[in-house]
Amino acid sequence: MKKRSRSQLAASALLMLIALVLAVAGVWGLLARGSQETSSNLLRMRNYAVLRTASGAIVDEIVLQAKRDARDAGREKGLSRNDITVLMDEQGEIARVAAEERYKRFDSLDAQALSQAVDNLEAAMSRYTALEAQEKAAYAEEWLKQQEALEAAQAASGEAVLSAEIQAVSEDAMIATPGTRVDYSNFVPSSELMLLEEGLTPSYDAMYDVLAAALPDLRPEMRDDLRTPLLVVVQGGNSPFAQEYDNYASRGAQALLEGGEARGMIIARQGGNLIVLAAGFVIFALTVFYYKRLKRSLGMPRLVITLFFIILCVMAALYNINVPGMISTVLWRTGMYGVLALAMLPGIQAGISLNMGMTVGIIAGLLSTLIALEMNMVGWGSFFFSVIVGILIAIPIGLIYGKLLNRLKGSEMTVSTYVGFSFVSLFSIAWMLLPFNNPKLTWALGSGLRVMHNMGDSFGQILDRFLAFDILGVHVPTGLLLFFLLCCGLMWVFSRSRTGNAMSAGGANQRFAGAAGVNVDLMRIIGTTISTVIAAVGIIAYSQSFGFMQLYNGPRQMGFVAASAILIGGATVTRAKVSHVIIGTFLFQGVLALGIQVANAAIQEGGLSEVMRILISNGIILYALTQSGGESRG
Amino acid sequence: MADQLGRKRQVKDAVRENLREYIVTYVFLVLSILFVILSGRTLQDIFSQLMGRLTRNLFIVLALIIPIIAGMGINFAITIGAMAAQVGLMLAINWELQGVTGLLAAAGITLPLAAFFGFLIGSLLNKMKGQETIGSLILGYFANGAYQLLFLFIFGKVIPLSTSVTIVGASGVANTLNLMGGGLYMALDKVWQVPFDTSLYVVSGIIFAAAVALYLLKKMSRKRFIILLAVSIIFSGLVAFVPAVGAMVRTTTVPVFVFLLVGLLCLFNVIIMRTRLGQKFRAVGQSRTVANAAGINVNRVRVIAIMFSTVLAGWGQIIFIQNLGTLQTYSAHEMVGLYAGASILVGGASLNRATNTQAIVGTLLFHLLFVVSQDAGKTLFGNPNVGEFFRVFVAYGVIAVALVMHTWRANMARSKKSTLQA
Repeated sequence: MKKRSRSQLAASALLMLIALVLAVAGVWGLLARGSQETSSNLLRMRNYAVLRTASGAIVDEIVLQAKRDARDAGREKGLSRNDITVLMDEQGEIARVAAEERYKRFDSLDAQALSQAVDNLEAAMSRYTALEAQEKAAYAEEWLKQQEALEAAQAASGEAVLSAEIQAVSEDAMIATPGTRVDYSNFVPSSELMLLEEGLTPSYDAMYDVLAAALPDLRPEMRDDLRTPLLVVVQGGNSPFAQEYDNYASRGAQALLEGGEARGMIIARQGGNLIVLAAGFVIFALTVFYYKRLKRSLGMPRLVITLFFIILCVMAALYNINVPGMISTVLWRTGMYGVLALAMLPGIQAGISLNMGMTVGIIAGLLSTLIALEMNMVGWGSFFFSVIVGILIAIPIGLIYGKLLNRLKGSEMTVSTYVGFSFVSLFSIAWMLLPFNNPKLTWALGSGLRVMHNMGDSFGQILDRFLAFDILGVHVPTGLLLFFLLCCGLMWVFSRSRTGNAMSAGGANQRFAGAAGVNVDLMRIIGTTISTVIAAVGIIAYSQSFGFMQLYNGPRQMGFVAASAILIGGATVTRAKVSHVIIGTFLFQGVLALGIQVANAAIQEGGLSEVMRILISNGIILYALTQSGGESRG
Repeated sequence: MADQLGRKRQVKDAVRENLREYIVTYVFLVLSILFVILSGRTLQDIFSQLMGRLTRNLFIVLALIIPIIAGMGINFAITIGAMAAQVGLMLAINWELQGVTGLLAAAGITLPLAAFFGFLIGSLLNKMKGQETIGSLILGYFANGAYQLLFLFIFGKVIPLSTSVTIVGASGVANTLNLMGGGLYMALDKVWQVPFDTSLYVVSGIIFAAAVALYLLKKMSRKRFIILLAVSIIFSGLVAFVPAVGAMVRTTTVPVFVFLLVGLLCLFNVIIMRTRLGQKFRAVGQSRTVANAAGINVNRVRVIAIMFSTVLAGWGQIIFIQNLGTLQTYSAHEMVGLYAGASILVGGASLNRATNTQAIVGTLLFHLLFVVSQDAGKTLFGNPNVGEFFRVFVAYGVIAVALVMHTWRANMARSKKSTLQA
């Protein structure tokens, strides 16, 4: 009978309780959104926000005047520039505080009239914004079509290569700003739209007059200046509750409500978030409750990563991150990195632990792709050419490398890392010197290959687009995923074959297998070669999916990424299955993609995504190394 | 007759053994000479650059010796010691400390920080016995991420810093920190500068005198005595009497204080090996099981070895940065482990044996190649970038070759042992 410690039970009970409270509050909040009281409060907030915006303009004017006066006074007294600035700031602050005090309450306000005026304006606005949205959407479609045609024309003329270089974006940037940004600078509103816009003016004027009556200092000159900010406040009826609330709250409308009213409104606003939080706490509670069982079946690292993944999902929901877009990104990245992660599998099974030297295979793949690009091949032909030639180049390299590893039993991982690094550096020299002549590939001045190569005009995205479809806003790169699963399937079939079984046996226990008649050394060479070949194919899949092929230092860290992925999937340095590859790549890329988006939303600083990637991927490998503990069997 | 034959064979075997152990060193020597010729730069120029590099890097390379002897391979995690030193330097600049005081303050901050990190590193490495080299490499990467987290998001925000180290409008510590403003630049170097030839004569004189004294006191073997005598006389003679050599070294000055520190570290390495702790290092390095059976707390000894190494590397990084003059906050520490590791391996050290001489010779050769490879690349291939990539290739290649050779030999010995037993 498994006993759960008392503290474990208490903790999980407490968490469930919190979850319950949050859920109830959330549901109540959501229901409250429709109530009469909430609506009227929201209206009051709206009116207040309008007043605050108008009075805010007045306060700003007062402050500006005070600062001007202070500056003149300071100049008269002959103060230094620094002192004048300090004086201006001081006087400005004093004036602001005084002015805000004065405009906190609006005594001479005809609340009824204002409400009516704002209602009218709102109605007019909603007609306007609806039509504007329609027209802008049509414009965006047209614009995108034009862009595509433009890019096609550029590609034909070879110009695209240059601009792609300049735009060489990092992968993370591609995640953070998904989709293209439409350039609206040439947008021309239709005559109907312009009519509606003019129709706003009488409603706006009416409202302004009521405001002027309430705020004596509101001068007629400010009418035009205040038009845009006030229209932003009075957005028009169809925005969701949360958006409307936030809009008014950002103008200080929360000050209007007191006590119970305020709390009620906040709960109504946060209703959805509370429910999401409640779900998170439920999962947390269950984890604590089933901790031992989960730890045993998943293993510590997978447990930690999965929990982290769920936390990120919760946070993503809280920050209103676009869910379908994110799922698309995760699917894309899983397919992109999948085959590379698969390259680790035969190595582990054959007993050479993590094959960090898969970089040699990657370089074979890069070479074959370069040959295809050099000959200006396009389409499926170039893809298959690259794959086949890549495999052909990778086989002899893999054999030699395998032979080397056979002399290094026990330290394969360490040595393969540095062999891999040296190879990358060696080929960096080679990229500069090899006789490639296609101007699309070489630097404009001088010789040598460029760093990044645009795959767009050969076979970029060819797998991704094959049979791709969109469902519920999620873009599924079918071809890419099918290719990944195909490779996994082939690997799986192989591991069930006689050779595959012999290889796994040799990897599991060298002496035993040797005694059973297995040529362990040969098996290791076979495993290494297969690993190298898969790496070559993997980088081709990666490059076509990413859209760019990266030479020089590009391949250097690939081994680590693949290793992290397979280890997260549950593999150890001595045991691995195909399922580990698939689950691991998904989890790893999922955590990274989610983490980057959440980090960008939560902390407005760039660079956090890179840091997170470093910490996560290296942390996983470190953990796996500590688990392998001790020298591998000799 | 038989005796003569035997002696000849002994010599031949000794030479072959020396060749096998030091093959990397000799290849490097040949390569360096070749590149020096190809580069087309004046010897004077090369020599003064080399001196600068030696000043910067010797201390760090020497910090690698203790973990090697303790059987933990190349400690690539000295990067973390360098990071600790950079925290100290950044704070010294932040508090606008001047000159040697500033550097001492930085060193003072580095000591507890690096010791603590060393403790963590050592404990972690204890959990991955047999994979320390790659473990320390990945640990270095991981720590780099934590370092960036600290410097980009915690410093400047959670822990406020002055504008001498941050940039207004951006978060975190600035990318480049200038040591020249606070007089930290070359603060140690400037303590005592002596032209090269004078210092060479003085040092040779000291070595001569010390060798004679120790030999007479019967503390030194005859072989070593003769070698030291020869070396000091030859080098002094070259500089004094061969005009080409003299011209090469005349313009270079030696920052004596730094080299004094380097000498102290060499002495420290030697002395600590004679203490009880040093013997424990050696025992653990040779065989963990035997050491354990002899009652030594193997894990603790390994942690202490790493702690020493990390602190020393931190101080070494301070010397490095003060000579350089600017601190590239986010990249200065990245290659420290790689270059130091490659240097000591070039000198002929292996993954379980390392001496001061090997460290010094290795640093000399490695950085000599560094200085000339760019120009040599331009001459050979018409492309200066080739030289740059070649440097990096050489660094990784040396480590790969050394690792391969070490493992090969270890595996051969192991299989020989097992066939003997069988």
